Amino acid sequence: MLRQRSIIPGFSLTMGFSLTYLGLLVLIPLSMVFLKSSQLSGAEICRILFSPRALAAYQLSFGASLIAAGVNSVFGFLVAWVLVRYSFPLKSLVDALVDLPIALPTAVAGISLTTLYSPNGWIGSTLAQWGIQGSYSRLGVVIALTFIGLPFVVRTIQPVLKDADPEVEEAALCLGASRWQTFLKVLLPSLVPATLTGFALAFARALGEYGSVVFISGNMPMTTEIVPLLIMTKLEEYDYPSATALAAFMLCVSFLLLFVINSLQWWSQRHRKKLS
Amino acid sequence: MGIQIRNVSKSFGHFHALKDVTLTIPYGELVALLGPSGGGKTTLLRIIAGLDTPDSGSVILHGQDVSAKNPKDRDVGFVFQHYALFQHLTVFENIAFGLTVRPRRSRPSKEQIREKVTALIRLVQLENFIDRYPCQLSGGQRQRVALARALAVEPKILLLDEPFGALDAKVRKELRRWLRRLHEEVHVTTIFVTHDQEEAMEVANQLVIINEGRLEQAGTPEEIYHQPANPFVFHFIGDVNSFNWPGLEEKETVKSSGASAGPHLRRISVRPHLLKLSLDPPEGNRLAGRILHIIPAGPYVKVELKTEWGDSIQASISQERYKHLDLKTGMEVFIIPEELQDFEGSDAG
Repeated sequence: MLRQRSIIPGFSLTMGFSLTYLGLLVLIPLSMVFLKSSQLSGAEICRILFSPRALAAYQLSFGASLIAAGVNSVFGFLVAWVLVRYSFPLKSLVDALVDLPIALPTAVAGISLTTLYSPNGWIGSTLAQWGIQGSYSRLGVVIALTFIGLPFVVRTIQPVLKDADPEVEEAALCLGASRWQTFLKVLLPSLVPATLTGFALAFARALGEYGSVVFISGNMPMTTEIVPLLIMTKLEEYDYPSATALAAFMLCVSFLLLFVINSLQWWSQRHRKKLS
Repeated sequence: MGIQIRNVSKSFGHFHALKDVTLTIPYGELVALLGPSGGGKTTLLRIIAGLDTPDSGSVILHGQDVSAKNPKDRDVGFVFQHYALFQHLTVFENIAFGLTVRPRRSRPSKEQIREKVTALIRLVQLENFIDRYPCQLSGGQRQRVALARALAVEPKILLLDEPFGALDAKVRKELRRWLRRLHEEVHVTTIFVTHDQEEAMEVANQLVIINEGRLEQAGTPEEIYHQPANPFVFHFIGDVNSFNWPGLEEKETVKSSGASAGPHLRRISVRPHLLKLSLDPPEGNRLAGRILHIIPAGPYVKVELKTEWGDSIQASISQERYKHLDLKTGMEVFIIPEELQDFEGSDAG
């Protein structure tokens, strides 16, 4: 099965290269994480993984990432919609702006967001009037994670929306559907897989984010400490086994979550894969 | 009554898709909008459906001016060239779509919908495909689903945009016959767009010829074929030879220009089956040609010739005549047009 006759030459060369590449960059570093943490006994691993501080960190990391990805799915969808469906002045500038969170050094993003949302910042001062604390709170973490996740949702939905056949919507209109029905019953179902992909990407990105969050969160253990930061703290204490145990745990859970999202996506478009 | 289109014009930027088109289509007809690609046929169809709005002019459907109405309020069914089926819905759900999106008050019950859709599925002969998704169907099957979907809302007018354009030749022929039968059964006013004259002639009982945004001629296939209104229609419908023919003023010389003496030539157009070939020189004007190629297979013998003035033409003659004359490649024959179309003030070229 591995060796198929193909017109394109160099299967063994390219395959060999790909495997080496993936091995060097992904597999070996990741397996080191598991190797290192296997020095610990089961009881020790449990103690590290289920310490109250770690539990709080998981809660924040996964919770904030999920919320951020969810927010991005809704508003990223909206941004993609506006960018594809309407033309307005400076559209290409707005379009370029979407990529900024990827290009910007995360520390820069973190510092500017922190300033903006701190109690005496532009937005933070307004929030403070309502008794909401922007920076140095769990909300701050969500804000930072939303910021960095936005491009992933927009950029996955955009091409699919662009390729959506306008005739399908026209067909729905001719059949008597209102604009809203057309959107809900015709357009949205075709965008669910792309939105799920965008959600998964934004979520994965948010889980791994470190740079911007350390500035805005305030890093208080038990309340605003995310898992990557906890790992950093362990490393600074030269507690490598604990750090790798936490890392391995994060890896497993992330993998599991991505797997679930992917299955969901497969399920949502299963009818396209049947037979055909 | 039926469909009236009054002075409709439409342009996209600098491109004039339709120029002052006025047309009446009677109730219950099966009409083909025929013309070269990019001539404005689809635009006209979309304007009737309300998917495009005309720059000027009005559309009257069954006595009611619908120019300002949305597609959903026009009672039209539209079938798109590329089907535009809902990919995430099954055949059944696709066909039922128009009924399920109705407001609650006028929506039929679940059983009524099921009954209706099942009847339509039978009509389009897709009984075994009810629960399939569009991607699991062939092109012809998809087109039939699109048709059934449009018919489900009981439109007063059915509009089809190049309905068979994306199908292969055999399926296309089948579906053409099927569409005729369907029209006889359902009897809804039907307009379909095509650039294939054979298809238009075979299916429709009324033809509307549109070219470069203008209505060239409307009439029965017979009228259009035998009494073309202008050179465009004549050349567009059926095969036509255009060639130089020695004019009536034989041997008239153009003295003032000092050009070489010779017959005054004019350009004429004749259908291949109206060209006679003869070995003996005819009386009056004569035109000789050399036979380049003979295609003897088929009900007619096709003879390709080059005239003495350098035009390439094709004549269709009967098998008997071919045997009688004993034509061979390279022979010199005389070409006699039996009936020639002469449009005033044009060179029909």
